[in-house]
Amino acid sequence: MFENGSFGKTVDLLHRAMDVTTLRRQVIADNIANSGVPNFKRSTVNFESSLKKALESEEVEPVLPMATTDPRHIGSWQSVDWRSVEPRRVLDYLTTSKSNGNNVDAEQEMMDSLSNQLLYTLQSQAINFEFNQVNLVLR
Amino acid sequence: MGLLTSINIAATGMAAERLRSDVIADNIANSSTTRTTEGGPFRRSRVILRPITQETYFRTPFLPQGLDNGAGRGVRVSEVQKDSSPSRLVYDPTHADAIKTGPNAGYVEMPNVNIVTEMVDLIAASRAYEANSAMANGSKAMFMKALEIGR
Repeated sequence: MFENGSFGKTVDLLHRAMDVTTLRRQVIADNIANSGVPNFKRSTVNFESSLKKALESEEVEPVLPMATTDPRHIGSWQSVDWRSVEPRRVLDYLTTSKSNGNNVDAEQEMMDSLSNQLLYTLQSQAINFEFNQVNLVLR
Repeated sequence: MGLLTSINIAATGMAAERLRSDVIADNIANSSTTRTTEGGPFRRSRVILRPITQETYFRTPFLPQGLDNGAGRGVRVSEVQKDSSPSRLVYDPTHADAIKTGPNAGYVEMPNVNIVTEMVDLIAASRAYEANSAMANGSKAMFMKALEIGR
C-alpha cells in the first residue's frame, strides 16, 4: 500500500537518515571520549552527498547514452539505487592539531554534536508529521 | 549501532576522566609524602588512556569494508603508570627521612609532584568530563524525541 508511494519513500528516507544520524553521533561521542588519547585520529561519517548523487542519478538522463543491444553489455550510465547507499566512516588520518598526535578539536566536535542533535529532532518531527498525515485520513 | 551506544561511549569517557581526576587528587594529596611502603618518596602516577578498539585501522583500496573494525567504542584506561622522573631534593637535615651519607647528605627526597601540572591536568580532566556528560545529555534529549514518534 505505502511501499511505492511518496509516503513510503519519505518514511524510508527519514528512517535511513535517522540511522545515519545515530551512527554519526556514535562517532562524535567516540571522538570526544578519545580527545585526550595520544595519536588518536578523529573519524567522520559521509552519507548525504552519496545519497544526493544516488537520488539525482535516478532522474538525470545521460547526455550521450550508449546502446546496449545485448544483456551482457555494460551501459555507460547506471543509475544508483538510493536504497543501496551506505554511510561511510572516514578516518581523518592526515591532520594533526595537538603536539601528542591527536587531531580532535573539542569545539568542532561539540558543534557537530549539537547540529547532529538538532538534525535528529528535525528528522523525528518530519517522520511524525508523515504519520500524522496518514492518521488524518484513517480517522 | 544501537540507540544507546553513544550514551555508553560517553560513559566510558566519563569513567576514564573520573579515574584521571582521582589519580590527580591522590598526587596532590601526597605532594609532600616522603615515606612509602615501597621505600623512598611518593612518585606521581599518571593515567594512560587508549581507545577500546585496539586493532589497527587498515586502509586498502581492494577491501574497503573487509578490514574495517567498526565505529569506535570509546576510551579505556590502559594503565596507571608511575612517573620515574627524579624526585625533588629539599635541604632539611633535621628531617627524619633526610639522606644521611653521600654527596646529598642533609637533603630530603620529596615527591616529584608539581602542583601546577596537577592543577592543569585536573582542569583538562574536568573539562573532558563535562564534554562527555554534555554528549550523554544531548543523546538523551535526542532519543526522547524518537520516543515521541507516532504519538
